[in-house]
Amino acid sequence: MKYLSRPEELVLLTIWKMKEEPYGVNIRKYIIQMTGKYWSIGAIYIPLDRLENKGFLSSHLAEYTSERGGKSKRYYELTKEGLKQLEEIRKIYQVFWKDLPELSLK
Amino acid sequence: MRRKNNKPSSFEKTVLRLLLNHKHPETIMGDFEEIFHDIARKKGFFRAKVWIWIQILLSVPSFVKNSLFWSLEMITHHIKIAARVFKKHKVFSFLNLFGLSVGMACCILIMLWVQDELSYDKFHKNAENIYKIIMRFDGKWSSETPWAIAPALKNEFPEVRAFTRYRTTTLQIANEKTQYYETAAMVDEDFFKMFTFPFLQGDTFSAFPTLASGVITERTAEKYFGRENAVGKTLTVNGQFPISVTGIIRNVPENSHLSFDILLPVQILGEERLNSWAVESNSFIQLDKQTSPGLFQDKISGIIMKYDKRTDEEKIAGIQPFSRIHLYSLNGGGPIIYVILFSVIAFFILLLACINFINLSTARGSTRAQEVGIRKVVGAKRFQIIKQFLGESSLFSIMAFLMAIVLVFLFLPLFRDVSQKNLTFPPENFLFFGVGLATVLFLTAMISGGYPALYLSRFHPVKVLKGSLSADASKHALRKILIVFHFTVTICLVISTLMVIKQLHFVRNKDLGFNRQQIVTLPVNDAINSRYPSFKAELLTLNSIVNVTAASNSPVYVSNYNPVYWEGRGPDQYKAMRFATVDEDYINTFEMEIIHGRNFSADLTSDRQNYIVNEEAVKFMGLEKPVGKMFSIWENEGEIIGVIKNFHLKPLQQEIEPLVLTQNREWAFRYVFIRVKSDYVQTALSEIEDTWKHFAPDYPFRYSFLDEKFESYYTSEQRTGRLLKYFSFIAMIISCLGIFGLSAFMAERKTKEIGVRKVLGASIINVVYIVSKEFFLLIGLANIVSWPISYIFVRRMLNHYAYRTDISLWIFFLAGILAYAMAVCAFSFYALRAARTDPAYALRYE
Repeated sequence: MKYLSRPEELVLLTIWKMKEEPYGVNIRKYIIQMTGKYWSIGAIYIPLDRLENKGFLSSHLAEYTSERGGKSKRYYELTKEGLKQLEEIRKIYQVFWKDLPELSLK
Repeated sequence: MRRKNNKPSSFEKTVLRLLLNHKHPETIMGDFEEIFHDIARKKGFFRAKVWIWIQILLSVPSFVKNSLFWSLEMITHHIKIAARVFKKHKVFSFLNLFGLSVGMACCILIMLWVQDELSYDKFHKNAENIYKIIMRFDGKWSSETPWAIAPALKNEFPEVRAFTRYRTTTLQIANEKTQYYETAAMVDEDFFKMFTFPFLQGDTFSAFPTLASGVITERTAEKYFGRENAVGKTLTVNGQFPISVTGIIRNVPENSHLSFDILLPVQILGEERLNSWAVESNSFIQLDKQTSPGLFQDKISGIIMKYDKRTDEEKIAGIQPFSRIHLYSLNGGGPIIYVILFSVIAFFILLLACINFINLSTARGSTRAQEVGIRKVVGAKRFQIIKQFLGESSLFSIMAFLMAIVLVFLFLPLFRDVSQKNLTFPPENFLFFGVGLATVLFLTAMISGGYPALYLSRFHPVKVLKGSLSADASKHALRKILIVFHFTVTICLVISTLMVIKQLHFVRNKDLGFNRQQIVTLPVNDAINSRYPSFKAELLTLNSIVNVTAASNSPVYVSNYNPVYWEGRGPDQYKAMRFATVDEDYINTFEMEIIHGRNFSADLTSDRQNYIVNEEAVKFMGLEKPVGKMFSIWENEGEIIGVIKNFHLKPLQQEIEPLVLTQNREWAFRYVFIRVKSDYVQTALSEIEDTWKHFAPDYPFRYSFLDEKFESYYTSEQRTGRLLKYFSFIAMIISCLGIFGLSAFMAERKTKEIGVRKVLGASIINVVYIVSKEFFLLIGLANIVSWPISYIFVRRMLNHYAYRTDISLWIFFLAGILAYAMAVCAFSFYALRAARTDPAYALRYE
């Protein structure tokens, strides 16, 4: 299996989890909200592109609005492989976190 | 408050779009606009603006880094490829580069020369409005006009703002320390207002406070007074007349056709002479800016006839623009011919060099079809391939340009020497010049890179890779036309060069009709003139001397001109003839040939009234038996006692004119000519000097050799001729280089064909013949085209010479053969090489 970078993981998770329309602006908003850190637009699109290239995401053009200057939104969704990947990640984390009840330096 | 338009400006959008590097730019732009809208709605339009500009600024550094990195990567790659291509075809590439840079260097040098010629007399602020008065007389324009014409014009026509007479003469100028002969120009005071010869000391308005004043150039001042202040000092003219220096002007620039060491008021010649209508002076006038020169010329044409009541000769006045004087001779021709000729040559050299470059690059470009194919397969976009090839050809042409500049610097000293012009590089108005060259360079690069860039990049990679394109590249009609054109120009150049060389040789070795070797010329002064017979007798006693004569004119340049009358002259036959006052040994000393009658005799006093004419004069007068006919000049009646064979009394550009020799001393002798024995030249000179000191102790001894004087009339001609020779030679070489490269290339392209033919059993000779047939047909065609063109051109060029060599057919054949020889050499060298190698190797080629 392929390992994903942290931003890729987070973006993948976001798209799977979020209820709003899954396009650039919303993805960014959600991820900023969840992480509490600043994400630039580019920081969203680089993982998006990579995930798409790896086949974990697919995208299609959707409706356009006047706020966007008449430009279409691009909706991203998980592919089967993307979903599998997420499951894989969860499994690994669960295995790792299992016998670590508390985080503190000794 | 809702803004009607919560959108980033179109400028911001464009910048953002430019910086954006993404496969779906629309999507991201949409995101940007949406966020902008959002911020503007919640926090205000201004905050949104700030935000978007922060976004823009933040993306700049990585954008720059990215694009620099990748373009640098590509540039190194392209340079590497270019270097490999260069190495792979070393000979072609070198010929290519060398040809272009030599071509450009020549073009630059020639343009420097042309520019210098064109710059003559343009430095005067009023140059546009100054005209020289000229006079049409006996069917020819002459630049000498009557003294009184300029003042008369000023009186009669208000549009004449100022005038000056201008007459140069050689004067002996001395002060206590030193003495020299200087060129003095006698001018009116307005001279300084009309022309721009800036004063270093003294001023325009009081240049000549008295008649005994003189304005000298910086150089003259230094010669006589060193570092001392010259103004107010005294100089002595011709040992008698003191003048005081009233001003110093800057040295006369080299590109001025007026040239002098000292300026004197013309009034020293006396009122009587200045008011006369004797044709002895040059006159310049300055017209109002609004005056139309054409109309003015019509108005003044009759002025001489109106005032000059002495004769009924028809003298028509005219004007010539001042800045045209240097380039245009009054009766056609002049240096302008060379300016045009040189410009044409420069144009052709550059054109040939560029065509060479384009031809060879295109030819080489067609072998790179595979490279283009592979690039496309790997994923290069068309735009990238175009960029690569254009970049490569630009690289080569820039290299050629730099080499050209180096060449110009290397050859400039030599060029200065040959042209006798103080040329500088870069010239003052280099911008204009440089932009022109850069344009040519740019066009060359674009055209030469254009074929592979635009043509090859267009096709589907599979088609290119199969190689079906490169095979028919050599069959292009355009290529054929270029080959024919190239050979045509080359052959024309070879023919013209050979003809120029032949003409120059002809002029140099033309029999003048008299012997100009071993003749020492002395200028005559009053002391010698009054005691000439005893001076001559004294000289003749010397062992080293063959003969002595004196005359008013040197036979290499007879300028005096006077109306004549002869027995049987028709009423409408009016003629002025050249004349020279001579003594009885003139004809013998110069070894001229008497064809009828006899020479002057020293014993017959009646011969003082008699005349000897040349063949041309006899022909003009239409006399069958000229000897014994009555003849007169200045109403001095005598008879024609002899006829001499024609000799060239003017430089060879001009035809031989009718000439009269007379012993009448009304015109004083101005030169003594001494023929010395060839082995005793040095002894003779020192002995002559001793004699001179004895007779004229107050005058410096100054001599010249007649053959040198003769040469001096041709130096500019010879110089220009030599330049012409060099440049046409270079043009020839460049175009031969092109032929060589092209032939070699054509042969190389046919390697495979040769291999196949050999496998099928053709002999070497047979193969070479078949392969080169088409190429040689093209050269034949070029020959046919170029012969008539160059014939016409050469004819027109030769028409400027009064005495010209004939156009020989062998030159045409030679040029044709030369072109063939070049092509055969290059072509067969490569074809033979291909034909003689193992066919298997040849077949693997390409």
